[in-house]
Amino acid sequence: MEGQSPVVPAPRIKESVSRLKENIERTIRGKPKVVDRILYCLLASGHVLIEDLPGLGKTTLAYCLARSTDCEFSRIQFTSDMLPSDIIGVSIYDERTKEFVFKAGPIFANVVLADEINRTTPKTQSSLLEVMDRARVSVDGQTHAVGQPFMVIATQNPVDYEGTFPLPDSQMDRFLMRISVGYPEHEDEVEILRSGELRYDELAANAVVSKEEIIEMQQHARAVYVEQSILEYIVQLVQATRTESEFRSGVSPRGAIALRMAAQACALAHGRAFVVPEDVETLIMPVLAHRITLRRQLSDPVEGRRMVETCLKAIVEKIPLPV
Amino acid sequence: MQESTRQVRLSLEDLHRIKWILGGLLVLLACWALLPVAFGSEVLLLLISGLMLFFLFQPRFSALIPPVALRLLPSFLGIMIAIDLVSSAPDFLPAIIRMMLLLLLYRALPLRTGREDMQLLLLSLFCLIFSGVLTVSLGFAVQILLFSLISMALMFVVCMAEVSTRKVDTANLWKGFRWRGFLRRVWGAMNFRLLGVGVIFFAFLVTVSSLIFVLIPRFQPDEAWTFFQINTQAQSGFSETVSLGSVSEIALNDNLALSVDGVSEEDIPANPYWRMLVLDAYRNGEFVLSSWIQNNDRNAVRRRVNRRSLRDASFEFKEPDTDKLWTFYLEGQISRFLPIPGSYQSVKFTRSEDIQYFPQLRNIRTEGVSPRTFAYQLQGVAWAAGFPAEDDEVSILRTAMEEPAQIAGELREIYPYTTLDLGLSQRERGFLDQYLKALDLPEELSAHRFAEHLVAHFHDEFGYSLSPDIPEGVSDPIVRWLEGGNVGHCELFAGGFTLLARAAGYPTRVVVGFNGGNWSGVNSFSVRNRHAHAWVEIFDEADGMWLRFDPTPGGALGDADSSGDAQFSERGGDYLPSGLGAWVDDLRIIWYRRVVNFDEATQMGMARGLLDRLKGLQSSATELWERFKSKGYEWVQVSFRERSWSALFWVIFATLILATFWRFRRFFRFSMRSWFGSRQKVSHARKEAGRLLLKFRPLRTLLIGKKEVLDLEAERCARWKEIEDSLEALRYGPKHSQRTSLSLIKRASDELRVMRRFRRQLKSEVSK
Repeated sequence: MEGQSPVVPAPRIKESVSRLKENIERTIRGKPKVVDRILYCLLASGHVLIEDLPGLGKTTLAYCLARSTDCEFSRIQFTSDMLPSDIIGVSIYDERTKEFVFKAGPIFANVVLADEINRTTPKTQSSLLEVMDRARVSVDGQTHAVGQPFMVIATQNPVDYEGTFPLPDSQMDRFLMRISVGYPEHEDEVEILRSGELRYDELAANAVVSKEEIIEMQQHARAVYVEQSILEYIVQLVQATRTESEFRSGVSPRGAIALRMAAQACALAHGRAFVVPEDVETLIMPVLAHRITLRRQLSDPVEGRRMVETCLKAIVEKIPLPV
Repeated sequence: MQESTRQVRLSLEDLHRIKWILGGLLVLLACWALLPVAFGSEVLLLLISGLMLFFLFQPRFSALIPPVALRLLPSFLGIMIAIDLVSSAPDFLPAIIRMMLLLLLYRALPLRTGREDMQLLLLSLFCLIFSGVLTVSLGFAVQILLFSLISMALMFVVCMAEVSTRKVDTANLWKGFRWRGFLRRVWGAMNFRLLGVGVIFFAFLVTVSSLIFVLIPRFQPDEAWTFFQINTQAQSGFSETVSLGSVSEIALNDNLALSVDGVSEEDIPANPYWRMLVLDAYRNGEFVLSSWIQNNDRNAVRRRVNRRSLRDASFEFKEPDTDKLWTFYLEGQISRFLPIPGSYQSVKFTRSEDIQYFPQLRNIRTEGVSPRTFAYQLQGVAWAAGFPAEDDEVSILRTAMEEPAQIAGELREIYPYTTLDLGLSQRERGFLDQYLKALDLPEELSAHRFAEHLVAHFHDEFGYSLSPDIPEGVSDPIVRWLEGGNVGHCELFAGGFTLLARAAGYPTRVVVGFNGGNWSGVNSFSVRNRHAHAWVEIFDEADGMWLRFDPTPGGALGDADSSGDAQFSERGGDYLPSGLGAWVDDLRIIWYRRVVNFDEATQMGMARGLLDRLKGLQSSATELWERFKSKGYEWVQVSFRERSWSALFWVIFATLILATFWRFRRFFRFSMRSWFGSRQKVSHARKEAGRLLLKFRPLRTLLIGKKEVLDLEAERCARWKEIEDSLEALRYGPKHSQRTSLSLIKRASDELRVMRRFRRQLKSEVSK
């Protein structure tokens, strides 16, 4: 791996990412960490699951990201009666041409906001599996690419779980990160009140990065150099989750790859063409926590998540950073 | 595939089996150790050894012992041991040995817990030490080495077995046990790394033990505690009463009896006679040391010798080489009498001894028969085939020879009259007179001439055999042998000579000791039990001397010349033991020299030698340095006088080389590590960068935080940031060239020094 890395224009990408960040932060105030992480997901060509209470700016965040990047945005409001065809599209018979024509669903966009994803049935949730993995859908034996870049930003409410269908493990594994927004600080909330606009069309967000630039950044993120000891550190972490007695299932190799990709994106966003251990360390929680299931089933999912994070923290503390 | 079949894992049951077997081996080792000191308990010892051997070969039988029996056994054994101890009071030692044997067997038979293993270990160690202190034999050294090996292995297995909390089914442990399969499994599980570690540990143990042995103060536990002093039986041929055949019986044994250290080839004559004890009286077919001699304080001088010399009155007999000091090692359980080759100037003992000295017989007797090897030293030894009799002894004997009839009643029991007394019936005396007549000896012979005639007669008419033909009868056995025998052993010849000489009126006494010996490989002389021999000393009236004669056919004509100029080595000596036997003998001598005889004096000598050596080293080093200094000084002077230009060139050249090396020391070190450390997972450059980064980053954060206090320029801060980023890139980024890596590391090191200076400055600012 050493010496084979192509030249990555890290400083230029850093500058583009900063522009993007600044643009989003004009609307999403006081949440630099959340913005950073969502940008890392974009750079790593990953999808993100935002878990939080209603009204904390989940949708706004997704909308801002789409608007800032000159990308096509689509929003799908998941409900319990929704069908897969409502998302991916359907083939309908055209009287004039006498043949079936594919009518693309709302998934055909660059940034897709899957709002309240746990409100729909597992059948409909599963319709996202293929598109999230391969960025394409198969309908009636025909495959349709959804376009580049492609990013799903799903939201769900962790507290109000009456009448919801929790996402299956396979679906959770498709998300690069799971993040939560959280309440804003006092000053930030005052500022939101002063300038805040509820109507998305009036948000002060203009495209600062083109779609092509995003695709280029994603290609460069994959070329960011990861040194051997860091790869080993990632594997040590992942293996530790597999032997932890509190966990029923540890992190899969897909999770390990996700952590590497997220770290690469993080390094690139910081203007580096190589990953440092801190990149990995800061992203362990959002990348790995949702891929782990507890051995004990707790009635409160929030409590369960807290427990997973505590155990993960203990694992991280046990494994020394490569020096 | 072969690799996988080799990697066998032993089960917990296997570990317990190994534990049990090692315990059994410890019992056998303890039995072996106790063998030389188990006086009176030999049967029990052999029984227990046999039983243990049987169980070791057939371990499944050990499982047949009912648990009830094992539960009841302690109380039964306790009672038995108590009775044994009480009944054998006050001599507790044999009872203690029996107790140890029984306890060993009791501990070894059932399967043991870890605690019981320790008990067995301590018990067998006690047996070994107990026997070792008493015998100090070479066997003890071998036993303690074996014990260390077995106990190390046992403790290792115990530790491994203790890890598991699982219970072992003791009842079925030996079911279907096969030695072959078991050994194959153990061999398969054998880890050579483990064996290597074991060997290293063992070598360490032996080295440390040897060092402790050399360094600790000397002490004699058996001298300090009477508990350890035990008396053993002498070999009957070397005791105060020698019956016919008992010396020959000793001669059947080939064990080592005596080693003489410090002798050279010219010291040993062609036919050496090692004189042990003189038997002056003859009673009922037995030669005895008369009780009159033994009990009379004038004849048996009792002395407590505290490692000092005991001088021999007969010293003036021959001018000795006073510097020569011979060390004798008499094996344990041989005799109370010390083998002495001739006259000597003085005798020394390695420890305090109660001894008896018989001036008339020139014998030395110790208090008891030593169960262990007994060491003593003779200074100024001169071989002698005759000894001058004491003045009053000479006058008594002369009178007695003139009037033999006066020897009657109590006088018969008093030395030196005992040397003329026959103690035979009239008929037997008559036979002896007739026998002498038949020899047709010339009248008025001197004792010397008479003895020569008689020895020649025996040599011509009789043959040597260890199974003599003594005709059946009730009369004296020697008389019967003279009447009808043709072949005999040394005691019969010595006895026959004595009786005939006494009948002819010559005072004669029988001497028992060794004749012959052989050289061992480590320049010492060994005498074995098969060299046991009996000969005679006849009183020569003219010289007032007791002269040695050996009437046994095959022996040398025992005159004074045999101790003269002919040397043992010229004669070819006895046959030498070869192979393993010789090697063991040599080892034994080394053991005596270096271990048994290692006393305070040797210790001090060793320390002095070491000190002298160190001093020598110091002085030679000083001398070398002085010489080097003067030579260097001389060279510099000459250089500047005669070869100033070339000298200057060389000095500058060397300085340049050194300076270059110093300037690029980092490069050299770095290159070496990069070349030689290329197989490492993380390259040396990365390691170095990571190491620097660990120091650089917190220091930079600290200093930047106090930028205002330290008045840091923006340029410097930017430089630090740039270096930190570069270090990060070097550590975690794609591979850098060696040149850039090196220059970066150098820059970072230099900057680190600057940063440390700032930190000191910050500290002083804060303290102000």
